[in-house]
Amino acid sequence: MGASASLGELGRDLRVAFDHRVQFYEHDAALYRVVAEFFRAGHRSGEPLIVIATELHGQGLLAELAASGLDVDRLRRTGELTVLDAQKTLEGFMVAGMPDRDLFRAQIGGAIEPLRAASRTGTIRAYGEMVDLLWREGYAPAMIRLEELWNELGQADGSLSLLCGYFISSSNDVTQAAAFEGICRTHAHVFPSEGPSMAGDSDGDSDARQDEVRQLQQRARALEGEIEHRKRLEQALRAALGERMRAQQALRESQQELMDFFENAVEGFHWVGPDGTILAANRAELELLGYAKEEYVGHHIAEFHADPEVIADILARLGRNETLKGREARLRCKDGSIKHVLIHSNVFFRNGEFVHTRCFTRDITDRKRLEDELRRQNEDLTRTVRFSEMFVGILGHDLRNPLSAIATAASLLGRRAESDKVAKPATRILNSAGRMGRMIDQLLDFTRIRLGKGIPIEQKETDLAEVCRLAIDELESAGEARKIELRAAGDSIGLWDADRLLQLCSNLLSNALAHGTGTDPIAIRVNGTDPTNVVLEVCNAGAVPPEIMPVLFEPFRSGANEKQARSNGLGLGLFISQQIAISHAGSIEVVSSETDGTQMSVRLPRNTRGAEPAFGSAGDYPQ
Amino acid sequence: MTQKTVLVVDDEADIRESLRDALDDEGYAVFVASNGKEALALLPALARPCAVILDIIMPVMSGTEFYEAMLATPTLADIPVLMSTSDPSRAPGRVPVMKKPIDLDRLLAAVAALFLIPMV
Repeated sequence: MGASASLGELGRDLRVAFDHRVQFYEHDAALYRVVAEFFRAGHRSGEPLIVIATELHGQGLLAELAASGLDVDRLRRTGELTVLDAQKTLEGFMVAGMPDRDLFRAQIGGAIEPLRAASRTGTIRAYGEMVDLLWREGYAPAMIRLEELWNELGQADGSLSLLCGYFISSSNDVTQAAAFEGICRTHAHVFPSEGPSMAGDSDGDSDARQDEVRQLQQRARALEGEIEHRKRLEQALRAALGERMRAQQALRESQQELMDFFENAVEGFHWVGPDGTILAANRAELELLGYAKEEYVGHHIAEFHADPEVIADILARLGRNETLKGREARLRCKDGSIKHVLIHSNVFFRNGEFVHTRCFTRDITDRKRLEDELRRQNEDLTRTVRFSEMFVGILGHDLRNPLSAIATAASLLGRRAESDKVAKPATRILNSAGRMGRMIDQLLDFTRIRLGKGIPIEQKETDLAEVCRLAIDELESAGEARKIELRAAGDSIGLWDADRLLQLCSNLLSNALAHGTGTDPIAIRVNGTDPTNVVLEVCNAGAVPPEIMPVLFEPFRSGANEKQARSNGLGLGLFISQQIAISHAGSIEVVSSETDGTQMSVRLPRNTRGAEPAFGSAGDYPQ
Repeated sequence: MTQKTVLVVDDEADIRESLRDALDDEGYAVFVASNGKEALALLPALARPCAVILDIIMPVMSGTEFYEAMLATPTLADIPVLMSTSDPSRAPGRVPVMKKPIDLDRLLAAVAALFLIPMV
């Protein structure tokens, strides 16, 4: 139970009409001296004495009385001195933390009444510190109430002289100061702890003035204590206030920084409430869309989205506490134009309630425009490339007819020629037509591959060694003078497209003849000793330049030998050879060095179905 | 000995005429047509044994259309055909094909071979 500010008001209207004194003390010895003096005066007048004290104070007080010459034991035996334990007595009438009036009167009155007959003056002299117990425990309202009950008892009887002892700390606090007022008002005489000792009984104006002085002294002490206390409080308050002001200042600065971040961020930023209303938007967002704040904030966000289904989906997802990252949307500007934006957003929930979104809006209009432009250019380019490839394809087909006419006519001319004068030019025309025909074949194959159609193969039982012999024969009949040596081992038969393998062999041999150095014969080996694969190797002297190796099988490959390559074809031979190998589910590899020369190795599974095209994309070139 | 007849069907005049000359040199009776429709009109009247050298991509009636019409005509269906085309992938199956530009020697050998095929 604590004191309240109204404690000082307690007992204000009580008129104390009997000898009810209060002695404040700081030290027990001082108390004992005052009480002993009070009791000696009473004993001299023949008044019975009653002590209601703690066990410690009771013993101390009896010792003090004995020291002052009183025969304490005899007084107790004769009933002139009664000693009661304050704590036990108090417990006898306390109910629910407050003294019960009836129990008090029964208990205290019951103790006093038998003593009255022995009093020569009719007065009972009592010392009590039950109130001090309550005071020390902080039960100030109970304490005041107990004093009031004493006053009732004393005024009703008129023959009680009561001294109350109150311990008062030198470090008085505001609680004691407030209660002090009540204590003073419930006593007829107040004696401060450091004032002159209570020298026996007194009465008259001088006593009243002395009481007043004593009361004022005690009050002054209490006030001084309170002033000190308040000073300390004020200091603490001032320190706390300063701390709070600094914290508030820091908070204000932090809020300013946050507001500055919100307001002046380069990125658009807005909050949307649970009903879709825009709660706030920063300058970047308003400038992005061209609205004044009042034209944007307070409106439903859907008003500014060009695609209702997009904002509906965004709000639904946010409502489910999803986080949106990089969601594209189109916003309508004030001038009617459309901005493409990238939205990053999530929701601030408080106690499970949707409070507002945290939505960043990045303008990607320029990027979208560039992307669209790039997409258009890419589509145009794709169309152009596709058209070019179709053009090449169609042209290739159409060229075959006049070329065929040239070849047939030249061949006929050669057949009819009666002299070399006619036969030789006819042969040259025929050879050129043949080379041109092969170029057209390569272009058409390349176009077909580019269009994703791959190289069609018609698999039937084919002897690879026989195909190689045919390729060699064709070259020799075309006038190739360099020697080509064929060696075959094992079973060289498999399920392949004979025409395509002839094309592959011819390409590899032509390549070896074109790029091989020295006079060593070109070697072509067919190894059929493996039951699964047959390997074709074409070897020549001389190395492939290192810079060419990574692009050796690329179409139209460029490099140091580009001119030489051009003179022999389009630079498509190895590329198409590789595609032929892939179409047969095989592969082609090259090993090359200055010392060991160059070796092209083609591995062909004997009876595996062809693979998907490895190059190009689907096309619509009519076949 | 009965003269063998060859019908050359090609929309490219230079090819037609060169083949006519070459086949004529070889002793064949040669007829030419610039498309399938012309060929279809000529063919029933040609003396047998007879063979056809047939281009595929032609205006009015293509080689494949002509070939289908020929097969659909019982009196013509047994006439052997050699396709001469810039795009062999368009040739129907089971028909010998020579890709343009044509090697004349091989073509003449192929034509000679056509007459070795027994009539059905």
